[in-house]
Amino acid sequence: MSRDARPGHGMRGDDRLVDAPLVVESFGRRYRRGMPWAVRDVSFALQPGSITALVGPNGAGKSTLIRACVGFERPDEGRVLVSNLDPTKHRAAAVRTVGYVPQAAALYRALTIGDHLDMAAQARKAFDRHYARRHLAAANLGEHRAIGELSGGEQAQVSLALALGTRAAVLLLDEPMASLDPLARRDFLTRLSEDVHERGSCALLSSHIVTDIEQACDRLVVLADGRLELDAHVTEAKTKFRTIGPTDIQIENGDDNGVPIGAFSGPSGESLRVVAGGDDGRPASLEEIVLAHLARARSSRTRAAA
Amino acid sequence: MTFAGPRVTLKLHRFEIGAAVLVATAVAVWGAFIELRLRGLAVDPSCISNWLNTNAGDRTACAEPMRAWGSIVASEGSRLFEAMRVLPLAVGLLGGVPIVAREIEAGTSATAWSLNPSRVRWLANQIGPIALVLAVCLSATAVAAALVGGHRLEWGESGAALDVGLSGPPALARGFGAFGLGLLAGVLLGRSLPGLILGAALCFALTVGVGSVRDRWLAGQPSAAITSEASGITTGFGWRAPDGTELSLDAGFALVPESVSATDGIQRGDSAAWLEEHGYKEMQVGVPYSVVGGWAIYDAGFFTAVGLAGIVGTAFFVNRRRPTS
Repeated sequence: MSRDARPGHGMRGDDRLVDAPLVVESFGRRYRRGMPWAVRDVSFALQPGSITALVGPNGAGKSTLIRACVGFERPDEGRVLVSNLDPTKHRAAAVRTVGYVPQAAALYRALTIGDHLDMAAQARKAFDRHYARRHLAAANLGEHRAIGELSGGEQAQVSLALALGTRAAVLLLDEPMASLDPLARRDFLTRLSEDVHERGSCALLSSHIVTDIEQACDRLVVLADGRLELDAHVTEAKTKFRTIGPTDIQIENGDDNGVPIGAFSGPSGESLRVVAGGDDGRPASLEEIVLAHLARARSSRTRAAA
Repeated sequence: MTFAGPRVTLKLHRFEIGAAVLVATAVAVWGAFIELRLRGLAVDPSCISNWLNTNAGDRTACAEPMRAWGSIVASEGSRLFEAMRVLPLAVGLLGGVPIVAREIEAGTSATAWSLNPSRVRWLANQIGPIALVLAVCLSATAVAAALVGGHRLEWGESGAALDVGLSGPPALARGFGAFGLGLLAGVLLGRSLPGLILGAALCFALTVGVGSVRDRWLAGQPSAAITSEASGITTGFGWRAPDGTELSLDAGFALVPESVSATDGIQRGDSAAWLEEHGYKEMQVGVPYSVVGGWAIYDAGFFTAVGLAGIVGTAFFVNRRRPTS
């Protein structure tokens, strides 16, 4: 079984952890003692100049994990390091290196976009108002406009502009595109990609929409039931995983048919299986890879419940 | 130095601050108007003294202005001080409660606390401009109330001596105390309206408690004669002997021969008559305002401490609270 295919052990012991701007190490969080873990035993790291997609169903623990990176959640197990700083111990210094876009655009409806820039400039000495303005102008958003008048997509663009204006080394985006139409999502991701690649920062982007990940992200982290199901480079994953349909010829009991990941129904209701390695079937799409890992998590849960 | 941050803070809470400023300013103007009318009457200080002291001088000369003066002091002055019982607390709560509560309620705390590396600094930046604006408005009200309160004492208005804490610096301290309590209630409940209700309940409990402690403190103070020159809180009666010696009520009655006091009954009317026949004068005994005024320091100190404790408590909880989203 390849390392990427093993749940919960994506980056553990990886040398790249040392210099990574964001390190999540055996992270575990539960909201009450005796309650199930919201997230447990999750490890991965973000590399400079990369956008990592954090994918999983509702309740998988994506927001908990991202909030822990901003110091909003305290790990019950393991730790999170942002620019080599533990946000629970050195919150001020850690937050200074983070730009955060919350799940719902948490902006002040009574204020204008310009007021938000003033507020950000007061909060962060390093806030680059000119840079934030540039992104707002590209999204056709003038500073005089009141937040209450903006659409959900425009509010998400303002949130992104605020996060980008911080010039932070680590950008944390918690499902920022949930309320955006396809065109707005594309604009959002384009701006994010430009920033990350220009500045060499890194971003952790939580999303449900796999096509977006394919467009902008170079790394994929799949969470299900609070556990890490997959941590892989997008390009590596697309070459490693293969989809086997009902009509594909398989070498039964052979060595090259790969490690089974999960089975799910295709668009026409046909049964599809994704395997790691092997030569059977065709290269899996990113959506199929995600679905297979989520299906595997679900069947594990069903087995455990039984 | 930039004013962009304070401007945004004030804009964010403009409705509550606007309401507080409006009410405080209205009461300050009302107090100033009362004071101007009293000054406009140009009542000679000797008139007030003569008017209050039935045994002194000619009262008819001052009758007309004194009636107008007394009417304003007694009716409008009293109403002003009724308002001052609530106003500093209301202003403090209106300013304090929404600062953190609204952030949590609206989910904007996630943005605010991720942009601000230090939440304590964020809190200070929020508190500073709001507290300054409210303090300026409340100061004007407290000064106006202090001026009118001075006339109420001069006039010997019943209960005026107990108005200590409702004007001048103690009124400002009450506003600060309510501000701190409001902040704390807001961060604890994370919602503005319940925070306002909790804050109001806490303020009510505190003022009742402080009133009770003040009454016990006053009971422990040495009594003295209450006169028009030395007004204060009357706690009882006594006798002034012809040689000027002050006696308690019972000590005076003890001087009355048994043959007189035996027929006295409950009212002690015969005993009192006997004492008056022998040159003793009945007098009011109590705590002079010069002593009562000393409570203002404790009152102001207590509410200032409450305000500080509220702010420190809020900083503690803001630092630990998980933002909503």
